[in-house]
Order: sequence, then C-alpha cells, then structure tokens
Amino acid sequence: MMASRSAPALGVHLAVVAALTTWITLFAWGGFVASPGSYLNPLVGALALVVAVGVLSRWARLTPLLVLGTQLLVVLVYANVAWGSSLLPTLDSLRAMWATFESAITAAREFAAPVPDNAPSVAPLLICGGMLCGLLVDFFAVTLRRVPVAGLPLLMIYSLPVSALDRSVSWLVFCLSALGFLAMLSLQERDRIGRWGRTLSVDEGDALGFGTGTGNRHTLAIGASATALAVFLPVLIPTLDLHLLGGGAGGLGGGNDRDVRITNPMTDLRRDLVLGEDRPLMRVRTSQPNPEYLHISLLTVFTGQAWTPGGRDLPARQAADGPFPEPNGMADTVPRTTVEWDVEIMDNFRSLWLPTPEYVDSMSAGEDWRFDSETLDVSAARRGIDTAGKDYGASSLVPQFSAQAMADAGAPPVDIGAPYTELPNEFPQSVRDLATEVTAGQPTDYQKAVALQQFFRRDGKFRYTTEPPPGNGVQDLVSFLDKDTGREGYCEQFATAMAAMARSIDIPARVVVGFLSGEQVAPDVWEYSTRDLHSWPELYFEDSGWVKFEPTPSGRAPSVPSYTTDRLVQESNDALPSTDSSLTNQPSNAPRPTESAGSSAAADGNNGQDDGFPWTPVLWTLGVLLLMVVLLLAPRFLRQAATKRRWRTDGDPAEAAWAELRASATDLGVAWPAGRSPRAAASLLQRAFGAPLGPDTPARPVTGARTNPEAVAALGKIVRALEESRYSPAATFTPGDEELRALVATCVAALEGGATSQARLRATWLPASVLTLQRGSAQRPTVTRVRSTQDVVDHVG
Amino acid sequence: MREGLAGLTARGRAFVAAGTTAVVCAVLLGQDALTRVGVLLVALPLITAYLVGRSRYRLALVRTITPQLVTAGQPAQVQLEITNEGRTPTGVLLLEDHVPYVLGTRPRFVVEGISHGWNRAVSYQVRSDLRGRFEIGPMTVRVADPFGLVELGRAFQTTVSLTVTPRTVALPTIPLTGAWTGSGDNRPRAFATGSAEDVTVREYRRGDDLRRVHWRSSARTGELMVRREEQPWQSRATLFLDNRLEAHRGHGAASSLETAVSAAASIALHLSQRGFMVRLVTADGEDRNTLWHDRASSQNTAPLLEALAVVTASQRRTFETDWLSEGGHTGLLVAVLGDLGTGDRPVLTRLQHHGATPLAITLDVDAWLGPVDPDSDVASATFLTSLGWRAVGARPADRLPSLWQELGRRAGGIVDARSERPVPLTPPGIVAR
Repeated sequence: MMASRSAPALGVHLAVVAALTTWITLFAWGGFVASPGSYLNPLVGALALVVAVGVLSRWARLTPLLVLGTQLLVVLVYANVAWGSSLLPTLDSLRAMWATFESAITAAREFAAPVPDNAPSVAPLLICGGMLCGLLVDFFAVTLRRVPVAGLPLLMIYSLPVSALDRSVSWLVFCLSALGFLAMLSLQERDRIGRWGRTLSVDEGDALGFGTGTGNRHTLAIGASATALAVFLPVLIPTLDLHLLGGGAGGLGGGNDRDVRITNPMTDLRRDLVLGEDRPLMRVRTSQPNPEYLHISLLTVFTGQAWTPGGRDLPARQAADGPFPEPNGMADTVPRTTVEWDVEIMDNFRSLWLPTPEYVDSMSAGEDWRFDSETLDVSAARRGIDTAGKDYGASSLVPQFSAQAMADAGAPPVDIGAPYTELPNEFPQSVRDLATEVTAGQPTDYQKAVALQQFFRRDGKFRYTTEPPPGNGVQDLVSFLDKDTGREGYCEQFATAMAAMARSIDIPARVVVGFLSGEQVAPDVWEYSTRDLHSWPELYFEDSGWVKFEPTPSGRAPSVPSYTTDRLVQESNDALPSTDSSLTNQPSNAPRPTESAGSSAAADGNNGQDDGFPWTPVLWTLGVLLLMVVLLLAPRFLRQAATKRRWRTDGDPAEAAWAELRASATDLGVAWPAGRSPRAAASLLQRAFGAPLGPDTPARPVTGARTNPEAVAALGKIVRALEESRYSPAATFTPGDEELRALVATCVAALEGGATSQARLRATWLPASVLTLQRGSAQRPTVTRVRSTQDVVDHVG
Repeated sequence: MREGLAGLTARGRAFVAAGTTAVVCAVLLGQDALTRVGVLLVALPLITAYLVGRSRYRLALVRTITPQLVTAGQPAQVQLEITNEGRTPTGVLLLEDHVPYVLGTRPRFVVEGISHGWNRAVSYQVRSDLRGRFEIGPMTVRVADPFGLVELGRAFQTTVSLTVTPRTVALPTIPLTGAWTGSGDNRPRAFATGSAEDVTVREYRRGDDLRRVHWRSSARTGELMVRREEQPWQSRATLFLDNRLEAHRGHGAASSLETAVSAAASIALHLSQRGFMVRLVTADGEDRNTLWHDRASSQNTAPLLEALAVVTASQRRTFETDWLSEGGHTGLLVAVLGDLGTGDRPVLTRLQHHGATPLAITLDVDAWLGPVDPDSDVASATFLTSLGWRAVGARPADRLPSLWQELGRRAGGIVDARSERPVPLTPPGIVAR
C-alpha cells in the first residue's frame, strides 16, 4: 500500500522538476522576441496545465500513448481558449485560432529576430512550441521513465536559437537547465534504487531520504562540478576556423537539405552564396542568348543600418498576369526586342519575390503575385505562398542602350531624383570625399558612373571574398572602403558601396538582388543555382531609365555591361560611333579576353566560388571514406599489434603462446575455460577443434578432439611447456619461440576449422579479444564457496 | 578511475559517446553553445566514474542461518550482520544476497551514506517446498551513483548451505524382523550379567561415573578407560532406495522419485526412532555419511535425512552391488523401489538371500504419468513377492502409513490399517498426474 502510494508521489516530483526545467530552458528563446515575458508568463500556466493533466491521467493508469493523447488534446484546447473565438472548439473558433497562428508565422518570417512588440505577436507560436516541448519532456521523463531521452527535446529548445539566430544562449540559462536535467536524472535514479530494495540507512529518520545524507551531498557535488566544467571548459576549447576549406563551415552548418529561403534578400544573399554545395534553384527556357542579371528584389532605401526593399504597393490590378508598364524612365527611342521565357522554380527555392527578367514586358504568374508600379519587382501578395515549385511564363524586354544617350542625359526628374539620392544623416563625409575624388574630372554623370565602376573593379585594388561578415550599413561601408584594412568583400559590399557613392554625387541609384547568369544545361535551357545569386547597382539616366553597372571584380563577374565600355571606344576612336558587337563581352579594363580572365581569377583561389570542380565535397568525402576504412581496419591492426607485443615481451614464451591461444579462442567465440589448470583448459578447448580449413569445409564444421589429432598433439606440447615453465624448478621441455609459434598456429588453424564461417569473419574483422573491455575481474571476483561458513566474517571492498 | 570507467553503464557510455560527438561537431562548426552540452555530457560520467572508482569502503559480513537443517516447507532465518570497516563510500551500495530462487526472492538492501563503524543486523526468512541442499550467498555489492551512470560490482565470498530435508510422516509400529539376534524382541538390550572378562572398555568420556573406570585397562593403555555397560550390539537396518532415472517417471516435485525419497525418509525416521541403526543405500551404492556408526538413535536421523535431501536421479541402469560383498551384512532390509525390469532380478534375488526377509514398497510408476486402474495389482509388487520379498505396491493416492501397516500385515501382523489418520503419500499441494 505504501509503495503504490509513494510511486505516483514521485511521479509528481519528477513531473514538476521536468516542467520547471523546460520552462527555464525556454528562456533560451528570449532572443526571438523583444519582450520574452510575452511567451514566458503564459507558459507558466500552460506547462502547469500539461503537468497536471499528465499526473492525473497517469494516476488514472492510462497507457502511455493515451496519456500523450490526453496531453495533446489539452494543448489544443488551451490554444483554442487562448486564441480562438469561443471557449468551445467549434469550427469557427478553430479557424480563428489558425488565423492567429498564420499571422504569427508570417510575422516570424517577415521580421528579423527579435520581433518587435508592435509587430503581430509571434507569442502563440512560441507558447505552443514550448507546450509541445514540455509535453515531450513530460512524456519521456515521467510517462516512459526515460529521463535521458527527455534531454533531446530540451536540447531542441536549447539549440533552436543557436541554429536560427546563430547566436549563443546565456550561460545562466544553460546552467539552470543543466541542473534541472541532472535533478531529473537523479530523481529517476533514486526512484529506481528505491524500488530495487529495502533501505538500510544510518538511522530511521533518514529512511525517508530527506536527511542531510551524504548521498545528496555527492549528487550535488557531481552535478555542480560537471555543470561548472561545461560552462568554463568551452572557453579553452578552440573552435576551428574551417573557412580555410572553401566555406566549409557554412556548408556543414547549413545542412545539405536546407532550403534556400529568400525573405530578406540581402541578409540571405551571403548565406546562400557560401552554402556548401551549389544547388540549382531555377531554370529558364528561352531563346535569348545568355539570359543574365535576373531580378529578384530591389533595395531602394538606405537607412544607415542597411539597404532595405522599402515599401511596396500591391493593388489587385497590378497582378503579374499580363502586360507590364514601360520600364521606368526608358524612352521610346531605346531600341528593344522581346523574348519569351519559361521559368521553372525548384522546390528548394523559397522566396517571397519572384525572379523576373531584367526588364519585363509581360508575365503570366497568376493573381497572387503582383508588381510594384515603381520598382517593377514582383512579390507575393498573399500570406503563405512562396516561389517553391512555381512555373510561369514571362516576356523579357531586351533594350539596346547607347552610351552616348546616357552621356547626353539631362537631370533626372524630381520624383526619381529625390528619393533615390536620399542618404542617411550620418552618412560619412569621407565616403562623399572619396566619391568626389574618384569621379574628379569626369564631366557627365555617366562618365562618373563608369569611373566608379572602374574604381571598384580595377583602380581601387579591391579583392573579392566571401569572408567579411554580411553587412551594408554605414559602418560596413566605411570599413569596406578603408584603403588599409578593408577593400575586401563580395557583391553585396560592392553593389551597396557603389550605389551609396553614386547617391552621394547625386546620381539616383538602387541595389538589385538577383541571379548573375546561369549555366546552359541544354539548348535554350539555363539553370541558376545558389552560386549565381548576385547583387549589383542600377543607376538612373534620363531617357534610358534604370541601367545596371557591375562594380564587382572580374573574379566574380567577368564582364561589364557593354554600354559602360562604349564610351572608351568612342573616346579613343571617334570614328567608330556605333557599338561593336564583338566587344560586348569584353571586360571594361581587363588586359586579357574574358574567358582567361575569369578562369585565372578562379584559379587564383577566390575561395573557389566559381570553380567548376567541387573540391570541398570531394575532399570531405575522401576524408570520411578514409576514416571509415581506418575504423574498419583498426581492430585487426590492434589484434596484430597485440600478438606482436606478446611475442616480443621478454617473459616466458610458453606464457606468450598460451595468451595468444587464449586471445585466438576468444576471437573465434570459443568460451575459454577460466580458472582452470592449463591441462583442464586444454582438454576443454580441444572440443572446439576441427579439421583445418579446406574448400569443402561446411558452414557448421564437425568439432571434437578426434577431428584434428595433429592440433591436439600441438596443444599438448604447449601445455607441457607451460606446465614446466610454471611449476617445474628446472624445465626440461623448452621449445623455442619459432616452434611455439608453429604449435600455436596449428592450434589456431584447428580452432578456425571448427568455427562457423560467421565466427571466422568476426574474428578477422572484429576480434573480441581486443574489442571487449576486460572487466570480468572487477565485476565477478572468483567466489570461493566455503561450506557451512556460519558466523565467519567475510570482507569486501 | 580505471575501475570506475570499466563500470560505466549503458547510459554512461551513451553519455560519453553523445558528448564526444557534440564537442567534435561544435568545434568543427564553431558553436560554443553546443560545446557546453557536449562537455556536460562527457564530464558527468567521467567525474562520477572517478569518484565512485576512488571510494574505499570495506564491508564485513557475518551470515548465520538457523536452523541449517529444515524440513521442506519449514522456514529458516538468515541473519546478516553488516559492518563498514572502511570509509564512507561514494554513491549508493546495493546489496543482494544470492539465494536460490527455490528459496524465495533474493533479499536486496540499499545502503547509503554509511560512515566508518556503521553496523546493522538484518534478517530474512527462507523457505523451500523442495528438498535439497542450497547455497545461500555470496552477497554481491554494487556501487551505484546518483545518476545511474556507473555501476561497480563486487562480491563477498562466503556461502552458507541450507539443507532442506524431505517431508516425513509418522508411521505406525509394525512387527519387524531383522534384528541382530533374530529373536522376537528386536530392541537393543542392556547387558545381561557377565563375568569381568567379558567387559569391553572404551575411552573415558566426560560425565562417566568414576566407579566405572576399568583400572586394569587404564594401567595398560596409559589412558583412563571405563567399562562399557550398554549393549554394544545393534539392531541394524538398511534402507535401500531405487533412484535410477529410468525406474521413475515424472519431473520435479511431482515425480515418483520425490515420492520414493519422501517415503524413504519417513521409514528412515521411523526405524531410527525404533532404535535401529539405519544406513542408506542407493542405486549408486552405500552413502558414506550414513554408515553404521555408534550413535545414539536421536542423533542418527540428521545425516540420514541430509543424505536423502540431496539424493538425485542416477543415470545407472543397474544397482551398484559392491556394498553387498562387504561381508557381515545382516539386519533389516527395507527397500523403496521404482519400476523393475527383468535385469534387476539377480540383484533382487541376491538381496533376498542376503538377509532376513526384506520388505519393499514398490511404486507403480506409470500411475505418476496418468491414471491407471486402482484395483489392479501392482506388477512389480507381485514380481517381488514371487522372489520371496514382502512387498506392497504404491500409487500416488495411497497413504504411506496404511502401506506400512499393509507391509506389517503381510508379515502376519495384526494392526488394523484404518486405525490411524490417513496421511497422503505425495506431499500436499502436489497433484500427481
């Protein structure tokens, strides 16, 4: 009766500790929202509810699965009461609840952590997640009594901010949750021991286990020291900088299955650029030669902290399902052609913006995707949709820009000029000065723009690398432009720096995120992958509209737009006023043709971003393969080493032979008769002998002493040598090393002949003699049975 | 430390493995948060193993069983006195006394937080419905830690044996022959008058009357000798038990062998109480512990019952007859026999010729396998009678006292078979099938 009453009581203890631990661990999610109280306070009640229901249903002796089901039901009911429209879970109420969740999910997707208070609350998501985790912990730890497994949901809670925010959790939260977990472990163990047997305590008062027993002291000491080690030791453990391995860190951390998400284009850009492997994201079927510079999104506002997409106006009439307006500012005088595109997006590419051609004539992407009349980029108009798996058609506009027209362009209109030259107040003067200095002596905006592009690509001695942390704020800009310590970056820095500098000299500029160029996988089919994600500035010129520039060095972007080189041609030779098509693909200032410049840059090791051969995965695969081979071969090498060591030792060769024989028998799974005399052991051992291996050895050979008399004789000799060396004062039979080895070999061959093929295989690959820990002596001491030892004092310890 | 590491439990090993993986991954990925988890998982078992492996405790155990010889179904008390002669151990000590499962559940004790000099006496009861000799012990000690990560096993070494003797029933007195003299009265008798020269002497024992000292012999031997005045002659009986495996049917407690042993024990007890020196002979020959010795009747039963407690089925097909050739076999022969074949005929004839008319209870062993006609004669009893034995057949439902009385009647006895309360032949609670 006592036992049955005390068992549920302990279940309550454990459940409460488990819930408390879960709650403390949930502090780790504090980084997701601006005010952690918004989910932590409701979770107190919610977790208490889960625990109470768990305790009650266990008390009612429901099966574990039913307990879990009941708790899940309670979570649902709780969610309905908290976020539904009525107390009863009617269909409408559930719908309202679901709407709350959807808005929470959207908020979580649209706002960078921490989600501010004025945004739609993500608390429902966190509360529900917390409840489910608490439920799992309760299920594993209390219902199933598997406390170590309950560590997994806790680890999930703990590592979520690490993986999602790439940011560590406070050591205090870690300490408290670790102690909570240890408390759960010790509670369960105490319960197990309590069930195991009757307690003989120091005095009766301690029998309840609440005294100041040394047991509790030890528990505390062990738990506290392990936790302290866990907090302080990582400081001493260096974390490898695997960027040396060509962005390997990103590749490992990202996980190869992770989808490419584009929600905030710029912050996602770098991550996707350096992802471990190059995964195709979309395909375009078009007759257009080399379709490049595909738009995904436009960044129009420079806040000082970052370039952001700014606002979008997406009325229903602007569905991306039909003709588009003329590109902004492009005059009718610009000659143009249209080409049809068929776009197919892979399932792993999730973006809230739809990839489009550089200039769009018309699109057929459905009502859910709409364009902004000003930026003309296409984004999702409805919550919960993204680009994954989308197929659509588009008509691309291919204009022929003339450098001369741009050079002759007048001042931009106010509605373009004012917003697109806006810079934050804290924009540093040094950058303005640099822009002025670089463009000094250039008479027109167009020439200034070309000078800026040339500055980034060649004159400024910039280096392309994905090393620097992502960032395009003012501080990042200043350090990127610093002559001594900076001038390293990737397309994000180049694009935003050029756009900012263009704005500082009053040229309207914006930043585009998109795909640079694809790879031709079939005639007229182009495939774009993660490595093709790119960013570049677009500058506005009257009558031409927004035209792109390419400040990123040739290592990444081999060619520049043709109109930026036209000018040079015209300058050097006025006799050639028109565009020479053969020069269109030439880099602006590269001394060599495009192809060689591109490949040499790649060979120079700009992190192998554009390298065709995937060295990193190959190296990793080879390394893993090598490791596996080593692991596979290690046991047999250990075994051979053990044999060599035995024979080499200066001890008695007979003992070495005996030990070797014993190891061989253990390997083959033949039970070695422990604690017998050599002679007795040998007589038992020879029962496992079989005829030497031959081609017609059956799978289960016949064993016994008579099957291999030669080996029996050899065994007899070994035993004799051993006996003489052990027991005889003057040994008369002392065979040499070589002879003993031969004898052992004969016996081992006989043992192998008597073993099943499976046992032989195991002996070769996983020899038991080196793999098993020899702890028999510690576990089972030889028991000397003394008959009728009444009243004899026996000792252990 | 090494011992502690070897004692890591599956959970401990899993923690070390998971922690190592976590640390390696964390180092490769540069995630400090994961390193912490890994270090915690590795550190916990290692610290525990170190502390547990380091603890130096020394326990002393004294085990006492009273009584050491019990009849089946009777309880015996096992007293344990445990003392800690070393330091306070880390963790919890789990003590388990290894008791054969026949005797009941293994007693387990949890000892925690004991200091030097801690002493505790505990006792538990064992009880067996099966005869036999059981080793109680050794006690194992396992050190467990508060998190279940390490478990170190050690064991005491001594064991104490407990002998559980077969159940016996009281038998009615029947006239028995086979006494030394063959006269009607077979009780041991005091000396009749005799001359001093007839006197035999023995060594002086404490408590002997000084008036009985035989001075002449004492002078000759140099030690005090006294006259023996009690009867040196004995009424001797040989109890022959057929324990051949092939002569019996059934398994375990419900086998015919158990019935035979139980009957033999009852008869042995009965004969001893009537003053016979009883020796036990099985198919394997004479039992060394029950040779005819000079013992008082009441002390005589313990070795007999002990010998019967450990009788097991013999693989022999024929009886061992060496004991017959040691001349001077006389006395009463009582046999408890199983299935008999024609191959046994020479031995049985020889037995019959060897002494006075032997008695036999022979089991109709097939009745232990399934129902047989209760009115039919037992074939082996008829066979023995034809050889000149006085034999009765027995079936599972028969009562030993009435069978015994029946034997007496065969000998021309007079006692009414129904005068005593019937006692089942098979032990209670066991249904013969």
